[in-house]
Amino acid sequence: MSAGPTRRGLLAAAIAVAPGLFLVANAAPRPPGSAASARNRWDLLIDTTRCDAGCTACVDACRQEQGWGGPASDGPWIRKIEAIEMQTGRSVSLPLMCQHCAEPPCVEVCPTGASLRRADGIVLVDRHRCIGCRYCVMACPFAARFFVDAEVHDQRAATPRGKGTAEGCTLCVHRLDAGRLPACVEACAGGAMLFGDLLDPAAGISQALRARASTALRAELGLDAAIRYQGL
Amino acid sequence: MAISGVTLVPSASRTWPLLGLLGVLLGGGLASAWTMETQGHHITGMNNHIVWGLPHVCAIFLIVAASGALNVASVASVFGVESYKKLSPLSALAAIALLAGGLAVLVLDLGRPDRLVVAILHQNPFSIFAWNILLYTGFVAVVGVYLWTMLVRRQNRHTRTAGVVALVWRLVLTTGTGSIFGFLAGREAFHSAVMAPLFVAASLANGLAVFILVLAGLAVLGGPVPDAALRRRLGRLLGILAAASLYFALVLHLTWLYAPDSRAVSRFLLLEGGAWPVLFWGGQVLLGTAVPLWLLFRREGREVAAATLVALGGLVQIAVLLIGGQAFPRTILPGWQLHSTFGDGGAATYVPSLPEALLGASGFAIALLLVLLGCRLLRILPDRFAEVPA
Amino acid sequence: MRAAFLLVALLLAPLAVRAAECLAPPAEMRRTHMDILMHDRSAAARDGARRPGHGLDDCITCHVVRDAGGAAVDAADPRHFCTSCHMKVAVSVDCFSCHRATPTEAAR
Repeated sequence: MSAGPTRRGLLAAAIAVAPGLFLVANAAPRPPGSAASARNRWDLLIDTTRCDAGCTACVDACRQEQGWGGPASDGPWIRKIEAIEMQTGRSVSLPLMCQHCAEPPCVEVCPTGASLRRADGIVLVDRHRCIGCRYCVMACPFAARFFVDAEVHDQRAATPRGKGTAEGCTLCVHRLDAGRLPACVEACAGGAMLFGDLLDPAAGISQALRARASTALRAELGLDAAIRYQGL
Repeated sequence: MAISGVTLVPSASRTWPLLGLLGVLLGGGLASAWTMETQGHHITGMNNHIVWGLPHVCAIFLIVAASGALNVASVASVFGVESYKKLSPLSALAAIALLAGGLAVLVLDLGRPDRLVVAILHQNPFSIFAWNILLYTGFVAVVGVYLWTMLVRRQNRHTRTAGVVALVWRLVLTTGTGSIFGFLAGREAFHSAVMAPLFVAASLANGLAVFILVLAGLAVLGGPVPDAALRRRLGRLLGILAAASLYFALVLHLTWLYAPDSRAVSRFLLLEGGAWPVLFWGGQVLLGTAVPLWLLFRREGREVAAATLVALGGLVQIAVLLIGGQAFPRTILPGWQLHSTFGDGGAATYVPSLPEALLGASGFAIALLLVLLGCRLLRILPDRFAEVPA
Repeated sequence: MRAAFLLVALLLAPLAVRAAECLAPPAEMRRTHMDILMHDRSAAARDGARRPGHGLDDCITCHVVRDAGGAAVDAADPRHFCTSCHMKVAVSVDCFSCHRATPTEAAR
C-alpha cells in the first residue's frame, strides 16, 4: 500500500479530526473470547485547553451508555470539574472519572478482591464478589468510586449494576473489548479526549504524550494513573 | 491462683426492664438492617461522600472498647497484679461481648450482607480490612480460650500464657483497626502513622471506661459492689489512659498544623468545620478528657460519672475522626479551588437517620445482653471484693 | 488500510451473530447451567474473556417470555424463564439484582 501525498494528508487529518478512532483500529483487537492482555495499556489523554466550561457531552454520553444517574443518590461515573488556580486566578474545566491507576488504592483495600485491575490496566468492580463494605469508596483519592444505595431498574445490557455494590467508570470496557471507543471520548465534540494504547509507540496517544507535557492528578501519590491531563 | 467466681443472681425488678430495653434496641437494629438491605442505604443519612456513618462509629467504638476491656485481665494475668485477678473473667467476657456487638453492626451494615460467605472464601491478603475480619473473629476465639483457662480450675496454670497471647492479639487488632484509616494514602484526614497508636490509646481508655460502667451496672443489678479502694485504683488508671489518648490526638494535629499542605485538615476539624470543632473541643477535649480528669483527681467517688464521660468522649472522638475526616473535601488538585455538581471542593454534610441510630445502638444492646447472659450462666463474678488492696 | 478494517470486521463478526440454539441440550443445561454461568462470569468480569454467545444477555434474549401485550416480563414475574423454574425449586437467583432480565428493546 503506497502512501502518496493525499493519503498522508488524509492520515494526518484523521489523527487530528477523529482522535482515537484511527488509533484503536491500529491496535489489532483481541480475538473474541480471549482475556485482556498486558500487551495493551489503555490510556486516556485529556487536553483541558479544549474542554469547555459549559459542556457536559462526556457526562451525558456516559449516563446514556452506562445507565447511571437516574436516582439523585447515584454517583457520577464521570463529572465535570471547574477549577480555579488560587494563586493566578486561571480557570480550567476538566472531566474527572476513575483514573485507572496502575497502583490502585481501591484494589489494595478491597477485602474480597472484588475491586480488581485487569491485565490491560482497566480497574473494575467484580460485582459478583462485592459485599458493599464501601472501603474502596473511602480509599479512592478522587472520589471516583460510588456505592449503589437504591434499587436499580432498566440496566444497560452490557453494564450490570445493582443495589449494595460499588461501581465506577469502567473506561467502557464492554466497548473496548469489542474494538470501540469509550462513549465519552466519542461524544467529545471539542476533541479534548484522546484514547489509545500506551504500549503501542505508534499510537497517536503515545506520540501526543511524548510530544507535549502532561500530568496525572495527585501524581505525588505514585498511583501511575492511566488518565493524563494537559493544560493544568 | 484459683479464681472462685459466682453467677449473677440479678434482682428481678431491675433486670426485666433492662432486658426489655435491650430487646427493643436489638429488635430495632435488626429491623433497620433488614430495611437497609431491602430498600438500599438511600434511606439512611449516608451518601457517596459519607459512606461510613453512625453505625460505623458505634461499631468501631465497640471493637476498640473490646480490646481495651481486656486490659484489667491482662494486667492481672500478664503483669501479675493480684488485686485485679478477681475481675479477669468479667474483663474477658466483656471483651468478647463488646467485640461481638461491634462486628454484628459492621456485618449488618454491609451493602450485601448475604455475601458474607463470599467474604470468608475470598480474601485479599493486601487488604487491612480483610486482616481485621480475621483479627476480630480470632479475638473471640483467643479470648474465649483465655476465659476458659480462668474458669476451669485445672486450666488455671495456662492462664498466663493465654493472657500473653490475648494481649498481643489485641494490640495487633487495635493497630489493625487504626490502620484501616492510617493506611489510606489518598485521604489527607486519615493517612498517618499515628492512627494505630492513637487507636491503641483510645482502646485502653474507652475499654476501661466501659468496663467500669459494666461493673457498676452489674452491682446495681445484684452483683458484687466494688469497694472504694478498687474504684479509686480503676479511676486513677482511667484518668491516665484518657490523658494518653488525648496526647495522640494532640500529636496528630500538631503534625498536621506544622506543614502547609496538611494545615487545612486540622483547621477544618479544629476551627472551621462547623459541627466538628464543637464536637472536638466540647465533646472530646472538655467533656471527654478535662472534666473526667478533674472528677477523678480532684473529687472522690466520681468514677462512674467520669467513666460515662470518657466513653461518650470516645464515641465523639471516633465520630470526628471518621465522619469529620470523610467530610473534609479531597484535595484532588492541590493549589486549586474546585467546583462540580458532585460537591467537589466543599465539605460534605451528614445527618444521621433513625435506622442508623438503631443499628448502632443494637451493637451496644448485643454486647450488654451477652455480658448479662455470660454472668448468669458462668461463674464470672467474684462473690465480693476485698476491702484491703493486695 | 481497507484490508485491515475487513480483517477487524471478520474477527468481530462472531460477536454479532446470535446463537441459533442453546449452549447444550436442555437436560444438560438444567444440570450444568450454574457451573457454566459461574465460570463464564468470572472469566468475563475479571479477565475480560467474553465468549461469544455465552453472555447472560444472549441467554435472556433468546429465552425471553412475553406477556399478552408483547412486553418482556421481568425477573420478578413468575413467568420469567429463569424465575419460573427457580421459584418452583426454591433456589434464589441473584443475577438479576444487577443484570438486566429482559432483552434491550432494539434486540427484539
